[in-house]
Amino acid sequence: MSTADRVLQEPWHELSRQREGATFGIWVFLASEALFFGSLLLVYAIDRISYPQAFITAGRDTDIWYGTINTAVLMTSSLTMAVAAQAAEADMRRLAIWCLAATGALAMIFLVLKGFEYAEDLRKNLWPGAHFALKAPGAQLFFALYWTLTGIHAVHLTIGLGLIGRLIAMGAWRRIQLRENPQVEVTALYWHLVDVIWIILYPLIYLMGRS
Amino acid sequence: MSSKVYEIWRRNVLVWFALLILLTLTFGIAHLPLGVGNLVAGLVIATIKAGLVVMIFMGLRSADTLIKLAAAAGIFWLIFMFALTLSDVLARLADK
Repeated sequence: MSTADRVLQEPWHELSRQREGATFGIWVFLASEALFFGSLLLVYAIDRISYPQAFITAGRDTDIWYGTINTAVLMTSSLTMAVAAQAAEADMRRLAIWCLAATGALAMIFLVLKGFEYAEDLRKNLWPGAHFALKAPGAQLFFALYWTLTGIHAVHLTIGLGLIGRLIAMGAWRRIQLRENPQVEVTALYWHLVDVIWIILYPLIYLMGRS
Repeated sequence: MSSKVYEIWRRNVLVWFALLILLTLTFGIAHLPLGVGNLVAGLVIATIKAGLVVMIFMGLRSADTLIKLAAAAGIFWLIFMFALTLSDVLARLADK
């Protein structure tokens, strides 16, 4: 069977068209994701304009080490994902699968660290509500946004982890061919966006009030 | 084959190094007393990092015009959303 027969799906007649369609589709989806996170960042901007000092003092109660290490972990996972996608294109199947596995492992490290961080936040009573630790007005708004933004990001990351696991499983058992397969590129682009969102969140959440 | 592997790693690791250097830089700058400059520096460096990932890892730099348009549309509507909403919010604050 040729590449086209193995990778081509309905309703496409040509592989090149299928790839263009998949890439265009995921970019439109990613643009809508940017608007989704953008609207939350807009809420952040407005709350911060209303309570500038509270956001700086509340930001100091996040754990900068978890945040910074997790940023490095995600950026490294973007590296392994980029190598995986390019290796798949160059028909280096082993390298592609190993790099996908490394990306998945880094994603799990991120989630485990985030879990420890959440546990610490809960110990410090940083969940908004009656027993919230900080007294400054506006501090609860910061932490409401902290939980929402990082929580939704973690959901996206978990979905990405599922997509990566699927590619590894299907690729390793040779049920699908990775070369020229639009699914590899779509997964990689989605993964990089999860990284981009975290890169934007990092200074807004973790670098406040450190000076 | 192995020189091809080397080539793939080399070009991507360079971007990764740049990202790590920028992360160290933004971490360091955050500890300097710059007032609002801290926020500006954090956002500028985050934008450069995001730009590196989007342009090189996601390949937007060498993508088709159609793809560039789709990405630009996302940025375009983001700018509209921020500009229109903030013009209202800031005007109300100034009016107080």
